[in-house]
Amino acid sequence: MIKKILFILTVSTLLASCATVQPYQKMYLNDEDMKLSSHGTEAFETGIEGYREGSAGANGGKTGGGCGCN
Amino acid sequence: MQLKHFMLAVLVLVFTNLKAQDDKVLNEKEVNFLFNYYQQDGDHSPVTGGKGTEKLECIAPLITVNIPVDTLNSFGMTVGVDYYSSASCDNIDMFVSGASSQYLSSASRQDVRGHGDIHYTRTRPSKHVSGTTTFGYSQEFDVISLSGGYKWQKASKNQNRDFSVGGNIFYDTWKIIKPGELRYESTEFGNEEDNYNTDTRTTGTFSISYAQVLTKKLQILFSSDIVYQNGILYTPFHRVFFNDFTCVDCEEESKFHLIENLPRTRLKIPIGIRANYYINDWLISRLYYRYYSDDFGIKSHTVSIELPIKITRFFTVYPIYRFYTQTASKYFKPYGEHEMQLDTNYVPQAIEQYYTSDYDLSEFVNHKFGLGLKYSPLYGIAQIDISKERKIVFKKIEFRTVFYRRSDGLKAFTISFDTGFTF
Repeated sequence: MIKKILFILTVSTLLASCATVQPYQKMYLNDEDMKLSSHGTEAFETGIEGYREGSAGANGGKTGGGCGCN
Repeated sequence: MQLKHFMLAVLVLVFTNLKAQDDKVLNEKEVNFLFNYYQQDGDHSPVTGGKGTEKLECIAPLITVNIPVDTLNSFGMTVGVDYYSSASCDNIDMFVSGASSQYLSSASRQDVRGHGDIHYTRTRPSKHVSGTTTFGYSQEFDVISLSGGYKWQKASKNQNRDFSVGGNIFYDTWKIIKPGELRYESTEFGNEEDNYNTDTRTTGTFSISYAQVLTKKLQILFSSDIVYQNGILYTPFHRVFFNDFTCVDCEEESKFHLIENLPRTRLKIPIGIRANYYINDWLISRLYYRYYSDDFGIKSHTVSIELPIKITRFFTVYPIYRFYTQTASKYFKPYGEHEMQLDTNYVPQAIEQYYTSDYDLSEFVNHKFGLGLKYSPLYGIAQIDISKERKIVFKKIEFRTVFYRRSDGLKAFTISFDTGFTF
């Protein structure tokens, strides 16, 4: 199921990537909440999740170093 | 008090830097203050072998500063302090012995971690390329960490695609702090701060990401890391209690137990996708999915959704939900379930080479839910004139709180508060 979803997303991305959005058409994309990064206030949670869960990474957060865990 | 002095020093540094710069620089300098609070409680502490209190509190203020030097170059800096108190760490010496460290018994209950990094970014607008170099440092009682990294980023001419690749190296030095009853050598007693054996951990991360604008209202991001770790990957004060058939009715202290042991290398591969969709003028959807796999045997899925709702043009409320599930590491077993055997001299020993009772490596589901509030007027919340040409503009206030409910009973919550100004 997950493989199918990933496949559909990949294919739809490749197909849609031909479309060009002009700079003057980006008023929605330039909205602060449309940024493709996590919120600044989320960084601390990302660190906590890295300690309290067995996995980390692929979210722009820190993937190693130090402890601060306990 | 020290923190106040430090914040003052940072501000002085920033203002001094400002004065030294060319007045023609138009880019705004930015300072952000982030305050974080975390609290957790559970009943599976690895310090006591997979059972016992996990109560922990952490207060973590953070300051970030971004200083554009000119239109092509910018510096940034992040400095933070984590002050935490941990009930489980107070159990490192729960079985008091002659080797137990008086120093540790009190110091480990609460600790301070200081950390900071600096980064330098150079952009080449004609080629839509930028490069960022980062150096970092962190120190707490038992771990010192150094890090360095570089990220290269290139956008397409029409800014609809963005590709980045980067690498980071972390070099950590750990003091080997063993549980009191398992210290045998003078260098394990720890009665002096520097009286410890040490071990190191190196972490190398290779990151790659690709962002694509799909429509006027939809954009996505693929990202992946390859993380390789080498060195000490166990925590030296985590106990593992074995299925001690020779000592069924003994006191816990007498049951066969050892320090957690894990392989000295680990390879982690996470793959993530983020999709943001502008549904209408008052609602945005932020979706994220990640698949993760490593050679400790952990596989995990993460799905999260945020729905920023624009109550007014500048005031946003965003509910948060995140679902996380992972399989157990092949080295994990609960308290008293790792198997042992007796050698020819009837001395107990572990059957498995690697063993842990750390529930962070067990199978569980973790639900996270919460709420964020953000007030960010176009021209700032308030302005203070500091000269005829310059003014401080308080840009925004953001508050966020989330709760965690892990299926093994661990409960936690965080509060984050963010504000900042430009000048």
